[in-house]
Amino acid sequence: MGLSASRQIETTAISGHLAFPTTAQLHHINLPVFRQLSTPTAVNMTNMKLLSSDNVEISVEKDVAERSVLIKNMLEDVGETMDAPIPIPNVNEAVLRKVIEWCEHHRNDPPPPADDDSDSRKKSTDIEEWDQKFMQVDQEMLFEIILAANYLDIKPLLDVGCKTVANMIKGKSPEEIRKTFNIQNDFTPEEEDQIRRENEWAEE
Amino acid sequence: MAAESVLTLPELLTNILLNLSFQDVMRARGVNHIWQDVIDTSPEILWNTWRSPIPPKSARKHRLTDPSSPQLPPQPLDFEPFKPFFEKTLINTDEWITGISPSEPPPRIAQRQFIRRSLQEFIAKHAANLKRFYITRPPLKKIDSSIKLITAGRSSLQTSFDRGFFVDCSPADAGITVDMYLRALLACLDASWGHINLPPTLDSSNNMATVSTTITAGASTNTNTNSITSYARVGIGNEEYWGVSSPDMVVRRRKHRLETQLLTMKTEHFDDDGPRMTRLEEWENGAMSSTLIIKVQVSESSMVLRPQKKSWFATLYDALFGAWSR
Repeated sequence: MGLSASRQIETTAISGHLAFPTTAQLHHINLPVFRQLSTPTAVNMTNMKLLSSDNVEISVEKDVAERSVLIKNMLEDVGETMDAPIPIPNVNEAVLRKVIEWCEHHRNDPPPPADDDSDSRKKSTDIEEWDQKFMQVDQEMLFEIILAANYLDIKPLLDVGCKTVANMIKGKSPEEIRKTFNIQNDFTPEEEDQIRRENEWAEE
Repeated sequence: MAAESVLTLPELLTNILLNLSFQDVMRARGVNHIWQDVIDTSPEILWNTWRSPIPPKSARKHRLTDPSSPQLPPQPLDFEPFKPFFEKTLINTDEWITGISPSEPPPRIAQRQFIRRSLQEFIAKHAANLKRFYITRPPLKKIDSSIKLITAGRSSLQTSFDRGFFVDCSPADAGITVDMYLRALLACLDASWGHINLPPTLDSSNNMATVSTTITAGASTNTNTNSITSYARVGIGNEEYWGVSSPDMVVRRRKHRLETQLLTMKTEHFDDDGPRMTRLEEWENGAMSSTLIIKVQVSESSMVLRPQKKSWFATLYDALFGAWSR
């Protein structure tokens, strides 16, 4: 939302002087071209750098990085300009790039409703198509993304990750769940029996 | 490695499990001690699985207060819509077969007996486990219920209402549990259906062996190849009979299919747009209405018993319908 709005404003400003393409046509112009047009003061075009746990610098637009509440708060505390890369000590390069990819795609998402509650979460384990494809990664990466989203405080990404894991649990027996995630069974046979009896009535 | 971190952090595990259905969550208690612990202690999961009387913060919806008028008294809190444990839930479904005989109770009595018995068995078996669950979320202290019996015959549909019942829990209890509710339901069935005198045993398997209404089939002779299809027709409940070489018994049976459905709702909180928010005081004072719907489908069928001679055909017959005749 924020981005396309700023594009439109700039277009009208310029087209006053030049025979310029219509706004509709302008929307097809890709971002690099547009960056040249934008004034340096356009806030959401500002780039910043993140430093992954394996010491790789990744350049990212500020409004993309601000999908992370952690980074957003950090920037607010420090002030507008931030030349030194922000270290993200818990996230390695591969995971960080993946997280940034998600943030870029969702950069224009409306902010989540103030009272994000069990209702919207309860709704289902439906995941939008793009996110589904995004989450088609190996299990290790999936859980790394969840940890990163948790650490960076990107709630919508955390939710998508948790839903993806929930879908892997759905309909499975405890044994199948253990197998899926390589979890050790630390119950005694008696305890297992007890739990099975407690749940018996809920199963058909 | 990352999986282990995520799946052992209570906060993240809770976040994952909250996306799952009641059955999935309860089943997941059996994964390991950590999972069991999280499922049995997380306030949000306890609430979502009807095991906590206290809604977690996420279930509360604060009404937006106008910041320009801070002098207003605090607005009452709105809560998430009221949720019954059984929301149109199939409690039980079963099928059983009886014969048609003067010595047996009429179908309606047999049905009632069956309903009571299946509920009794259900409670006896699961009562201890059902104590942990509240019948509603949030728990209610008073519930008004009615019982509706729908009997579907081959061409008729009968509905009858039974006297309802009322559940009231002691002030010490946080609310009515599933166990309390089902016991009250059973007590109601015992009281209003209890006056019906029933023969001491109504065991369906016994009945099958001792059916007394028999019809002797005609004696015209068919070739065996033809008879196979004929028997099949008899088997599916056609009233016509085809003769076979020996005097067979054609036994008519009734097949009862029973569905017990419990519908619980707080009527006034459901309008055309679906459930609406429940106020805190409505929660605390509210009486819930619920309906037990029992659907009974009765179909009659006939079958042939061939107790005497064992021809090759009889052997084949036994193989096909053997389970029935024994």
